[in-house]
This record gives sequence, C-alpha cells and structure tokens, in this order.
Amino acid sequence: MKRTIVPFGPQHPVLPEPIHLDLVLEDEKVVEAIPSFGFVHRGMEDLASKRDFNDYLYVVERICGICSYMHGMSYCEGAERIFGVEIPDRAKYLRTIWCELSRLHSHLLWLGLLADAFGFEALFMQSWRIREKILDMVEDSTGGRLISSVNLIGGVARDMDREMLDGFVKQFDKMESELRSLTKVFLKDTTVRARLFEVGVLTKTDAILYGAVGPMMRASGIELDTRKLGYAAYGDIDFDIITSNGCDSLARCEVRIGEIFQSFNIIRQAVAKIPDGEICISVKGNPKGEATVRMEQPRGEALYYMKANGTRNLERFRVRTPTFSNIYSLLKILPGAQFADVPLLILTIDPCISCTER
Amino acid sequence: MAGIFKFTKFALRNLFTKPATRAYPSVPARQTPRTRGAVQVNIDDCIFCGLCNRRCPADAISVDRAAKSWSIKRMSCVQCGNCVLNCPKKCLTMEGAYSAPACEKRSELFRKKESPIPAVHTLAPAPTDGKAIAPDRVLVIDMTSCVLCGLCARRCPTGALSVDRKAGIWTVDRAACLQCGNCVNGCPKKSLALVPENGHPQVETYTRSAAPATSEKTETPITAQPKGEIGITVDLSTCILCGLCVRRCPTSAIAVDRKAGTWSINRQSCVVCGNCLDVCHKHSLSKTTEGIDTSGIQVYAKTVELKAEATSAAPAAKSEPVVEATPVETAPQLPAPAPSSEASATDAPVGNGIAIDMDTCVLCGLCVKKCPTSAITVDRAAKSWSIDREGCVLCGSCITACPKKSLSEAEIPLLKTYTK
Amino acid sequence: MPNIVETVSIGPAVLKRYIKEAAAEGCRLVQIHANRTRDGYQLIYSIASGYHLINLEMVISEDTEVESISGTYPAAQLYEQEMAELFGVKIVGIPEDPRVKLYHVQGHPMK
Repeated sequence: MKRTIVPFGPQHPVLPEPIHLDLVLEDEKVVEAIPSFGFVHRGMEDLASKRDFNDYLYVVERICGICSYMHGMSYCEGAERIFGVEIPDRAKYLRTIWCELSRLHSHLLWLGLLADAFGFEALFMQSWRIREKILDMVEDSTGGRLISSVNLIGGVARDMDREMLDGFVKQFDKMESELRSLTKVFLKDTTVRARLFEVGVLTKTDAILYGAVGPMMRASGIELDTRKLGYAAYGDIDFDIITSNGCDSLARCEVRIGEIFQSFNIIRQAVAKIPDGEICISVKGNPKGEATVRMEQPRGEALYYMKANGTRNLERFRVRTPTFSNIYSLLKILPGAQFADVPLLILTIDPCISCTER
Repeated sequence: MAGIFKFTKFALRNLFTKPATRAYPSVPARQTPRTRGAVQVNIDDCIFCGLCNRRCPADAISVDRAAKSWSIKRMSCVQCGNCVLNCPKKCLTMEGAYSAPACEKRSELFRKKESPIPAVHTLAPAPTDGKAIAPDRVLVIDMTSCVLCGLCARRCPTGALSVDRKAGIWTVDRAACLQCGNCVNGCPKKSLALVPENGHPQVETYTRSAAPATSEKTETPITAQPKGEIGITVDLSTCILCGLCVRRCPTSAIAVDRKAGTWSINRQSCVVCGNCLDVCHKHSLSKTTEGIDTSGIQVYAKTVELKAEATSAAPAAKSEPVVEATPVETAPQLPAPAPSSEASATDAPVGNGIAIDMDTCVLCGLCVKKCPTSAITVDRAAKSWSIDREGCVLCGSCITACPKKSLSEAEIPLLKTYTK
Repeated sequence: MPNIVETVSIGPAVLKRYIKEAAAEGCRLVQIHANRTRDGYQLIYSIASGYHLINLEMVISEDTEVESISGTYPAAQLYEQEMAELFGVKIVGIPEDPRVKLYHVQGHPMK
C-alpha cells in the first residue's frame, strides 16, 4: 500500500509547544512517527555553570511556563538538601498549597486543550474560564499568574495570611460544583466518549518498559505517586493515589480529573493545618555536595540532580522532566492510530516540550 | 441517547451571563498589590553599589558608579524581582504593570543629579534671589565644631554673619539673615543649621567654648594645633603649582611660587578645613600627621625647576618624582623639546599644553569662564579659540568644563590661536 | 514512604547484567545522564523499584564505548541519544532511526 508522509507541527493549533512529527500514513492510519525535536532548546543545563546559584533559581523557573512553580521549588529543595538545612514548617505548607494550585491550573489547562483537540471548543473555553479563577488566586498571593518567583533557597518570599487562605477555600466550593458538571461532560458525554474510549492504549507492561510516568502510568494501573515520598508538607496530608485500569485516553482523563478534585481536598487540609511561624531562613555560603530530588509535577515524576563544588556556580544541574520520559511512550502509541486522533494522542501525554528540551 | 445533552446547561447559561473575558487593553489589566511589573528606581537613594547588576539573571541592569547612572534594558528584564530583593538601600520597586510594548529594544537611563560645584575662582555665594528656603527657621551654630574659618561670612549674600578669629567670636544678625542656607551648605565642619524658631534673639554672638571639643565627625582638633598634629601636605611630584588651592584657602594660608617651584603653607593660619584638598585637580594635597611643624610657614620645593621658555609654558619636569621638602635648589636646565614634524607655519615649539579639537568645539565659552587665570579667549564671530600659553597653568579646569570634550592635555605644537 | 536514594558504583562490564536483573524484578528506568569529569564522564543510570531509587554510577574515559541498554529498556534510547549529542559519549547499539536528532546543535556543547 502506498505511504504518505505528513509533517505535523512544529506549529499546530492544538500544540502548546513546538514538536515536529513526520507521520507515515497508510491511507489514514499512522504506521510510523518520526520525531524531530530541538525547537526550544535553550541550553539551560549548561547555563547552570555560568550563573550564581542564587540567581539561577529564576532561570530554572523559566524552563517552562506551565510547570514553572515546581521547577523553582525543586531547585530550592535540592539546594536546601545540599546545604543540609530544614525550612520552617509554615514555608513547607505554603509550598504545598502553591504546588497544588499549580497542579490545578495545569490540569484545567490540559482539559481545555484536550477538548480543543477533538474539536469541542466550547468545553475548552469553559475549562479555561474556571482556570482563570485559579490564576487570579495565584496572582493575588504571589504577584505573577504563571511564573510566581516566590521560592527562595531557605523558604518562601511571600506569606499568605489567614484571610487570604480562607478566601481561597471559600471560592473552592463554587468551583467544585461547576467542575462536577463540566467533568461529567468529559466522562459521560457520548461524542466525547467516542473520541476517547479505547484510543491510544498503553498496557501495564508497556508502560513500565517505555518509561511512562505520572497520569500516563497511573492510568495503566500502576500505583505510584511521588508525592507519597513526603517532601514539603505532603507527609502530613492524607490523600489517595488515583489510578484507573482503562489504559486508554479516557482513563488518563479520569485520572487527571480525579487529581483535580483531590487537589482541592489537599489544599483544604493544608489550610486547616498550616502552623504559624516564619517563612524563610537565611542560608549563607556556597553549596558543596550533591542531591537528588524527586517531585510530582502535574505531568509526572520529575527528577533533579544537582552537584555543587563549593563555588558560586553549580557544577551540574540535571532536570529529567516527565515529558522527556513520556515522549517515548507517545512514539509507541501513535502507530495504529487514526490520523485524526494524532493531536489527541499527543495531548494525552500532556506534552510540555519546553521542559523536555530545556 | 441520554449522554448527548450534557453540555446543554453550560451552553444555555453562557447565553445569559456576561463575558468571562476582559477587553484588555481598552480596560486596564487586573492588578493586585503584589503584581510584579516593570522595575523602577529611586535614583536619589541609590548608592551605585552594582548589586542589582550582579544579581540580575538576564543581565538587564547596568550601573556606572563614576557617572552615577543606572540603566535597565526593558526588553531583557524578566520581572523576576531579584534586584528588588537584594538592593541594600531598598531603592528599587516593582510597578504593577509591565513596561509598554515597543518596536525596538530600548534602555532607560536614570542619572543622579550632581550637587552644584562651587565656582573655583571666586567665593561668591550661590544665587538665591533673596528668597528664603526655610522662612520659619533661624540660623544657629555649634561652636564646639566651628573653626572660625569665615567661609560662612564670605558666602552670606547679605553680610549677616561676622567672624572674629582672634577673639573667637561668631555673630549672626538674624534680621538680615535670609535663611537661604548658603552658609549651612558651605560650612566645612557642618556646624551651622537652620532650626525652628524658638525665642532666638535678633543678634546673637557665640563664643568659642574654652575646652577643646573634638567632634566625632572630623579628626581635626579645633584649638591651635600642638606639634605633631594633623596638617596639610603636598605631593610635589603631581603638583603643577596652579594655585587653585591658594584661591580656595579661606584663611589665605597657602602660597605658591611658580617660578621658584615652591608651595608653602602657613600652619598657624591653616585650619585644616580641607577646601584645598577638594579643589586640587591633581589630588596632590592630603592630610597627614607626619612631619607637620605647626610653628610657622612650611615650604615644599620641587627639586627640578619648572622651565618657562620663551614661547611655551612647558612644565615637562613634573614627571620626575620629587617628594622631599627641601630648600629650593636650582635644577639643571631641561633640554629643549624637539620640534615635531607637524610644526605649523608659525613654527611653534612642541610641548605639554592644552590641545583643542576645533571640529567638535562649539565656541560656547565655558572654558573661558572656568579658567582661573583667564588664559583662554573665544571669539564666536571670528570662530577662533585662543590661549595665552604663559598664563595657562594646566590646571585642567577647562578640560573638565568642556561639554563637547574638545579639550585635552597633550604634547602638541603650542599654538596660540586656533580657528575653525 | 521513606525517600531512599541509593548510589552504587559499577563498571561498564557489569552494567548490562545489573540492568537485566533490574528489569526482571520489575524496576522501571527513571533516567540516564552524564556528568563531565576532568578527563572523562560519569554516567548515572537511575532505576526505581517502587519508591526506592537506585543510582548506578559509572566513571568512564572519553573514549570508552558503552553498550546501549535499549534492548532491555527501550525508553533508554532517548536518554542515550541525548548523552551522545550533548556530551559526545560513545554509545554503541542505539537502534534509533539515524534521521532523528534530538537537539539541533553544532558539536558537543557540554563536552
């Protein structure tokens, strides 16, 4: 049968960031996908050896716009482990709250893009309308909508007082009821289900072999969530790991929607339990040593390796972002899919190409 | 079938609610008290330490200490707030809005206004139009730090002050006082102040306190200096004997003899106010406690004599290091400088002198005003700039004053007149 | 869960055996990266068994050829290709399409 090659990307309305795929088609069915990356490679890992480690924090935050908060937080966490300092408890709870707000905004963004991918623009707009309220909360507390610049080595730079925290929690009730109706459309609507059910199947064994992380992995039945390691204040908070056995795009949608509601609960718990105290300790001197930090970003498990040798610059800073891991599984679920499902499949891994190609 | 109308509720509600979007930029963007935007600087508080420059991850800020300027590349700034966090004087703030978009990359420069340099050749007070800067205040003095130098009396536009060194008295006529603050600004010991009125008499006389008080601010004792105390000394290797210090000395303690190559100071008159230090362009003067003989006049002499040749004023000798304060000696004659190949038609000798670039000169005449010996003349009509090489003392005031940087000191054929 | 990160130093000869054993136990590959040392590289293979992370450290010289582990973990291809492109580590046996280049860079920028 004759094969056609269709170039997909790097600019495509459904892609949040540029990635290029050469799709080899046999009459509307994808046979092979040849990727081409490198459109947003900025050499951020190399930059670590050229910038003062305090200032490099602001560069790390800007590796990606959507996952920005957790990049900054992981960098601070790694530096704190190298210095061997323990940040105040209040700072840990504040970081947890901002982490979960970041997860909320990222999942709502993903829901919108998913709806856009199968053409349901109104659903896309409604998801983002709810997301705006989260972004307003983040701006009220930190000063920036996406890039918050609120982490410091030794704690956080801004405090959220009781009034602000209670105000946020009060807004959650209304948002939750709106989201319940919205997510019912994602999960129960016939047309949406027809697009998502049994599309892009990744079995459990394949998920481990191909290195899937995060909701990709949890939707295939693997019960692993890096938040259970107990960094920040997650050790004190009760939450379940949300998994699904569907292994398809609908299952991934379920997992992410479940995580949205779980985030609301986690923030409620953190706001109830947050202790008083200071928010930052001062850390002086140059770091020396190495640290490996693992964090659960909205897209999956991210691993940070930092090595310092006693000078103002870090010797090595390695970020293994979740999308880097998920890209391979993407290349494996594309063959066999319909051409019209390709944007959808690319989105089910929640691609963050800026993170991949720092 | 039942699953088709799940979205209907949203669609219907959307019909009857107002839009969730904001028509930015017609409507201003949402701002919160913590919103981060463009970085602004309060240049008056800035000390130009350069910390913000070093902390900026995008290298957007540059600080020039000498020029007292702070500039930011608006398009490079990522609004991270690191500079604001690290500024030791807290003079940086973040506005609530980003800087406006533009078609080209631009920088914004902020420069600290210099405080006006007092005129070098006269001690005339700064013009105040006779208006008071602090009309409800009165002038008082702290006699513990006053050295009775008399600068305040000279600067007073109405002659309201009088100082008697011998008697140790300082008098103010508050009726004549305009509260202009000229004396307060000019006092080298910061003894004067304008304070709120509180039953002060119209004419008041202050006497210097009997016990010698030492103020923490200066290292100079007020009473007559015993031997071995602090005094002014000169480094004759850099001194060009221009005489500016003579003019600035409020007690006329310094004398300079160009022909003889000597610089002398009357230690009895010298109050170590430091005015001569401030004005010396060559930074030859300094305060020291070594070798100070306060009994009378101390003379410092250059061991190599300044040559005053027929048509040039070429003190080429000052490059040789001379540091001891010895009596005047006659020095060997300097060889005449070789005429350069670019000798002009007038066949002027080559030597060290003020050079002018007539292409950039705008004949503004500022150099004329600044020249302490009135050696320069500018004729705008004839488009010419002339210098009296004998009168020129190479103090460099004209070089500093020239707004077009047309003047410099160099080894040149020493012409007297230049035309455009 | 306790956050355990174990570091084990190995040599190139035993790498393949370790990886095969790990795969047999159901561990997943987390990441592979390279650090530049004075006269060579330090490769770190991170494997996770549940929440327990094991870093296999391997110090090699610039010319050592390392065998690819993509036979066991196909996901390793991307990591190994990144190391080869950015650092210049010599890895043999990557079954990736030679047309695929991860980063459009000249030379080896982090060498």
